[in-house]
Amino acid sequence: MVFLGDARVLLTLSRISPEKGQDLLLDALIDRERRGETSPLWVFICGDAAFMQGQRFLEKLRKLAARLKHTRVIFPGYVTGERKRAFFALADLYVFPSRHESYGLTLLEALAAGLPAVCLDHHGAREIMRDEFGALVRADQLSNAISRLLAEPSQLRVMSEAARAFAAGEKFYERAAILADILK
Amino acid sequence: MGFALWLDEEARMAWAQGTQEYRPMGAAAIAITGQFRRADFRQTRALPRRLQSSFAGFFGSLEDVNRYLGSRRRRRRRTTPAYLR
Repeated sequence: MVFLGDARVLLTLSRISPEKGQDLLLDALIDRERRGETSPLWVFICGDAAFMQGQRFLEKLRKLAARLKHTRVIFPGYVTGERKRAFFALADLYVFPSRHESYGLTLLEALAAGLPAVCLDHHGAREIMRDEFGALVRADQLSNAISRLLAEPSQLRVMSEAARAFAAGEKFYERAAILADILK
Repeated sequence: MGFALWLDEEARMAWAQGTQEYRPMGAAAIAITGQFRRADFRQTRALPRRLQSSFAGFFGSLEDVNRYLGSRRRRRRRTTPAYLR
């Protein structure tokens, strides 16, 4: 049982690995607190540690998380099915801090669940993200972007509908067919 | 792909371990002045234990690892030798 009170909730979901950029998210949250923003925040960093040195990277993330005073960071591990849907329902904002991606599968899942998103600017996110349901930013802009979006709950509600509508029109099998055509 | 890097200054070697999606790529060892290629990684190659204290960091791609190695070389080149200071 989790009692969130008036805390806002961020969610990110991927393998725990350097290319997924969870360290950049935690750096941004440390920066947020340094700027004096202390409103309560919960962050769920879901996913299993990668096979090679993943545990070591997870330890690094835990050390970064320990520097946060007003932000509670939880590492629930690998989530799927109902549990994953519950995390999507719990969150106010999805963060996609990957350093690079070929295709943002979890980003699309989040949008389909009606979650606005903040993404780092790379090819995979650029293909999907629109201003109507989130922000595409550089790593040094992540902290501000999270603060800006969380500060406007009514805007987030509008973005949530736009995210859902966009994701409904994005069919993974169509993208896969395009890729298959290229590979032929 | 995610990579971890170790620098063995004594032996002038750079070691890396990589993961592609959930698949381990294994380990690679090159000269500390070199650049890693995907073909350098071997599933069967083990990382020497003595390297544990030589950990240099995590990287999100092989390009990032090589950029780091390159920048390190450039920094070194700019350093004034001790006998000239």
